[in-house]
Amino acid sequence: MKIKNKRIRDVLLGVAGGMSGFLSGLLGAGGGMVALFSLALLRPEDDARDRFAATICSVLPMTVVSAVFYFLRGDLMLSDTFPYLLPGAVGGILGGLALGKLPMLWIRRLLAVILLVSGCTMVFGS
Amino acid sequence: MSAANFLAALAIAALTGLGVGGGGLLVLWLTFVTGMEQLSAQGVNIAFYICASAASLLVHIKDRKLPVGAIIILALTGAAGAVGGCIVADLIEADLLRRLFGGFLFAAGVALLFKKSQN
Repeated sequence: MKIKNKRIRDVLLGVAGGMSGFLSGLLGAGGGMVALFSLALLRPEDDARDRFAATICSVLPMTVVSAVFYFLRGDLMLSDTFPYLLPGAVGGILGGLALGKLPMLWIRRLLAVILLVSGCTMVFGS
Repeated sequence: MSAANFLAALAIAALTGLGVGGGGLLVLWLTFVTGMEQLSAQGVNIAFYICASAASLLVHIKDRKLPVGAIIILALTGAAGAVGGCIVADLIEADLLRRLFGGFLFAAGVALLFKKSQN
């Protein structure tokens, strides 16, 4: 879908962003998928790998907001979290490097598998 | 932390840095394999996601051509939406919506799996 009017495109992106953040805050999942698909729909001219990276940038602030709410509710225990930060940071950098190296078909297949697993977890989870 | 825990977190963080998500996988790992309670696992997962995605941005900012304007719009409206979502989450039981959205994600995964290559 190619929208030539930049203002309309920006408004639609804003609506998609609001929806993405709302779902992320309400359900704790799915915000990234909405952001990625809206970028693919509204900005088809961008390189697919750039869209994946842009999704990470866009979702990070939503996640920080959710983290603040978790912390205020007492559901974010820093002592439980610390051991996972080192592999998280190293893995994040490795994934960032892999985005430029892996064939796009593999990345799409990985995304499809993650969607299938996330979908099943949400449908059948308690 | 055991080697298996470290390797699982490393692999899931790599998926996060790749941009395909995967944060939910850590919740599954923590609850089913390590026996952590669901709510604690979600708390760990959220901090873990922030760490992994922020680290990956060090690479993405250098290597990728990011659409800055679109990112600013999505990030600002997304943060505002997340505030709304977190507040509503305290007020309603979103179980049905979660299952419906899960079905949508599953259908999107199936469609993506069989989609012909594009950009």
